Amino acid sequence: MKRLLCLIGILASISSSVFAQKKLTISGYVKDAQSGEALIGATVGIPAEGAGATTNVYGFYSLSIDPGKYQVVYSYVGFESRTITIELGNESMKKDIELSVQAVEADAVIIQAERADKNVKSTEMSKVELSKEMLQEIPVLFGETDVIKTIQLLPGIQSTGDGNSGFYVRGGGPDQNLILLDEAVVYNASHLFGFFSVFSADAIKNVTITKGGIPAEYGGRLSSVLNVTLKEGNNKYFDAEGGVGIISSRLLFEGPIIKNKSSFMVAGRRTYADALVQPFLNDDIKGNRYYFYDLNTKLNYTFSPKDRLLVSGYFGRDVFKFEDQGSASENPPQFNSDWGNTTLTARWNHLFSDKLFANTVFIYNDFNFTFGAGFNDFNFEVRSAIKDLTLKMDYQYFAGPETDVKFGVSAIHHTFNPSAVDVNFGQDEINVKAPDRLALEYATYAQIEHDLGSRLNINAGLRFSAFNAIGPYRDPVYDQVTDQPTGDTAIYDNWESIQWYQGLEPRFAARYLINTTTSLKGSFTKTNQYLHLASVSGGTLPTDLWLPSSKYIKPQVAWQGAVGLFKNFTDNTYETSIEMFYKPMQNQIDFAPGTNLFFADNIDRSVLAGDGLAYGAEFFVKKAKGKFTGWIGYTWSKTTRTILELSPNPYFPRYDRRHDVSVLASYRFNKAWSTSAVFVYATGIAYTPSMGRFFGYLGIDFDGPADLNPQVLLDVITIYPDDFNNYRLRPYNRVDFSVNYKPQPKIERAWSGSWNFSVFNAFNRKNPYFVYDDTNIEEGINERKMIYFPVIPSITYNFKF
Amino acid sequence: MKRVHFLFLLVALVVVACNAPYDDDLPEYDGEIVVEAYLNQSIPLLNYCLLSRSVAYYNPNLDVEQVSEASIYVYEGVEENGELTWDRDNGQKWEQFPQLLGAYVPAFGWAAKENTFYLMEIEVEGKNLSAITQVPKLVEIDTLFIDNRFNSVADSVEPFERLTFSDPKGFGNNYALFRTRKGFFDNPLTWGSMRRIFTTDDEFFDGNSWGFSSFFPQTYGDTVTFYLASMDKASYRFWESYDVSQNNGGPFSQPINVESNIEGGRGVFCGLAVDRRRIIIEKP
Repeated sequence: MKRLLCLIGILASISSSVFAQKKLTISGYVKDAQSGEALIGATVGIPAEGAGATTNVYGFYSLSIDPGKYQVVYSYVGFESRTITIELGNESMKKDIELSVQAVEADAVIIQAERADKNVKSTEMSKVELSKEMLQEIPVLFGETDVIKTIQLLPGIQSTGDGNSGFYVRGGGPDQNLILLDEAVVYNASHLFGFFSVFSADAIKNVTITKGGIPAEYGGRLSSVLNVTLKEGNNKYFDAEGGVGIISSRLLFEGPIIKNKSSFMVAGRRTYADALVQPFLNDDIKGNRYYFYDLNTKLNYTFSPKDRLLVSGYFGRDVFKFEDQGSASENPPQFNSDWGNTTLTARWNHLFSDKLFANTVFIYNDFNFTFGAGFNDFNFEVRSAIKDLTLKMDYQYFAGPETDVKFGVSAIHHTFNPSAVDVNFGQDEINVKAPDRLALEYATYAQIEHDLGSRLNINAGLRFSAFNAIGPYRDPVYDQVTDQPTGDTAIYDNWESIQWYQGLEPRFAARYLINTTTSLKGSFTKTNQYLHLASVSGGTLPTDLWLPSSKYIKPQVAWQGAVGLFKNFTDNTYETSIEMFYKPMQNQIDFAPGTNLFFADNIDRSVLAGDGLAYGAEFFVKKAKGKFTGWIGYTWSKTTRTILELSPNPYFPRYDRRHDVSVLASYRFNKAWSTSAVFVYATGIAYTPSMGRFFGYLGIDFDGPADLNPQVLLDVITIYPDDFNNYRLRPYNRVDFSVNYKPQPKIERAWSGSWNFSVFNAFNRKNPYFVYDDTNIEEGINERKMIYFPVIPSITYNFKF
Repeated sequence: MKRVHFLFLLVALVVVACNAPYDDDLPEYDGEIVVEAYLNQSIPLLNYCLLSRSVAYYNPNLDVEQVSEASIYVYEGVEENGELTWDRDNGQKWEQFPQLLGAYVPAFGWAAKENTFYLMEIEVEGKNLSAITQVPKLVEIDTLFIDNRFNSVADSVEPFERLTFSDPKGFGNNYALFRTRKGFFDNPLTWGSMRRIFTTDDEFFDGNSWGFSSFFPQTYGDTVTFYLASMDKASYRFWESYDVSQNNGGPFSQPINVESNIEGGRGVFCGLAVDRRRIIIEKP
């Protein structure tokens, strides 16, 4: 508590000293002159005064200075800088600026989304920003540009496996990443069982991943924040772009509703492999279909210089159907499944003054999953869902050139439908539904970023979060001594509190500028997580269930300390960094072996909890400019979990990788041709192999009808080593290549097309996705096998007009 | 549900994935003696012990490795002040069953006693194994009858059995329900010859009557016998973990070792208090 009071005291003293000064303000929006899109992270500087500001995620900036005449420079990577003269007399000034895209210098490329030296000069560490252009350069599976596949190439971020959209950050599980699409939480970011993420590259404006030093404005997950911002839509003219790939196509259409005032963006994507192969399927399997589609939409309207409304939505579904049409039965064997996310975000940007920017947000999001199967008169269906309603208000106070203050509140109403099972057998029906869980999650935060002199900058924040599981709910009562159900049920009425958790989450980051190209950074954060992913896989599957904290499942907690040295060379052409982190975690959950997530009577009681620890070092070298660009990332890390019910000793979870290397290299031959290559190496995944076997339950089955031959029963029982996950699969390595051909259109805004040729796993390395025992005693089969992804070439045509 | 997870992965993977042998090193394993022993108070023929040997998982020999020439003794015990004492003067020697390697049986007609502890000691291949079990107090089947239901799709009436029993008050009772149909043999020779329908504890029905009905119909004309077997906690844990291990699967599932109550080896020494009922499935 003393530390908290001390922190508040520091914040108060800094704020009061800043607010006491009397200055005037230049404020406004920085936008793309071609499309009217707000530019995120553009810099506004007055070099003569050493003052500067950065635009926020809505393109707004505010810079306070003394009255006078100044040369103000507006700049953004990839855009022509603009310098204008401003004379501030007695009043503050509003100045919106549009920047034009920089004419492409012969053959050069810049793989940055932020300003050139931001990695050194910003206080944020462990944060990477990716531009759409950068995403499109990287070779990808099936030619589908993918945000999550790209961030997996960064140090500290590991893939959950080939063809999986889950990712691990600094020893955290896939559920410990806060994935936001226009501020709406995406609970399952996978299409096609994880081969693709739900983010359609055309519709993306900006992507940031924060893997440490998470600012106070974000909460609810332990390990990282992946923030994806959608394009707002061109408010100057109509524009379209898209692509045709080997398994899917996509199209984006955008344009003004009222020129320079409002715009829309609609982007759709659908796979068509199911339609293409239908004519070639024989009748028996013609009933099989798999496809996914998604739709991104965004609408923005500027009501007044001070008010703007942005409404964006995402709707995506995967649909999978199988029917045995060769069956003679009237009701042949069939199963079907569909799942997907829906999000709707409505944001109101309001300027209370030229220094106070407010963003009020209403969000609806849900993820639901259905699986059904049937045969003859037997049918069953399994469903699960999670649904949120969120209201949050964020404020940004541009107190001065040295100080930026953010504060806000949020409230989320969660509805969990963990599982419902309907079984229909002739006239009989069985309906088993785990009771809905309701919860409220609150948070309030304040953070200040302040320059303490020319070298030291701090970002200090405090977040208070709380979680309240509420009724209506019927909770079986268990005897405290025997841990057995008493047969009684505790009944909770509407809105009645079942369980309350709360926590203070201090966040602190500091940057010390050693010189103009070198900085030392440090951060310390505490994060709480009240939602938990019940998963039987190490990746992310649609069958995974989200569960709230409860009497039995305590919130997950993590502390992370990190230090880093950042150094740029040759006019920011080369960026280098070394970061080290130490991250103890509490209440890390897992499940007892064999737990059935959908049919568990009280799944909370199947949760096993323990501690976790991750630490490591990340090395990063990036060449950001020139014909030859790319990066090398290397991570050494160690991650352990201690869950005594699973293993008497600390064990390595699937996401422990001792060594992880990613190399990305791109070369631009000229304006039209470029090529890229990716190399990835990672220590093998920790696992527990089969060690021995014996036969159990020996006997002869006479239980069938008398006219059938009795069968000898020989169940094979597997013996595993006592040490859980103490063995490793073989190391992972992969090389991908891509070639991009983009002829330059002779007329601006005319049709322009580009081709992407990619080869995934070019050397056909057999990286085990998983290993399994292929054992069938009756057929004399006893082999150890693995599933791997072979070399996969692809071609995609992208266009824009 | 693990099959659903697995199905998802398989469907996903067949799109592009390949299958290949995986031949990296495995942990070394020398093998252990595996015991599967039962005793009950009701059916002497179903008191037996099977000894086999576990092997390294990828041992090319896929046959059961029976273990012969074992010396097996079973002793009764009593519990006093929380301590078990064994009547070592009256141990039952279990002999190898003629011409059935690895099978050992007590003297003909011997049956265990209800609500009694037993100690089994095995000496084989220079190793000493031991295990303790309890044949618990008998819980009888209350009712067994046939419920004839109309199947609209098949447009016919189908028979479903309905069995009930009353769980004694107090947690800690464990049950397995076995079933045989009169067919090739009228009486089963091993517990493995029967269909084990379920294994459960009384967590959710302590002190209450509990009923069971099959999901699939019986066949008219069959004679069906049900065996309700009560067992102690260790035996129940063996069967519960056994079932989980058999249903556990998928590429990312947690490995599970079957819980054993055998000191010095693996397997189960399972004491059962058995009540059986027979019913003829007659057309209404």
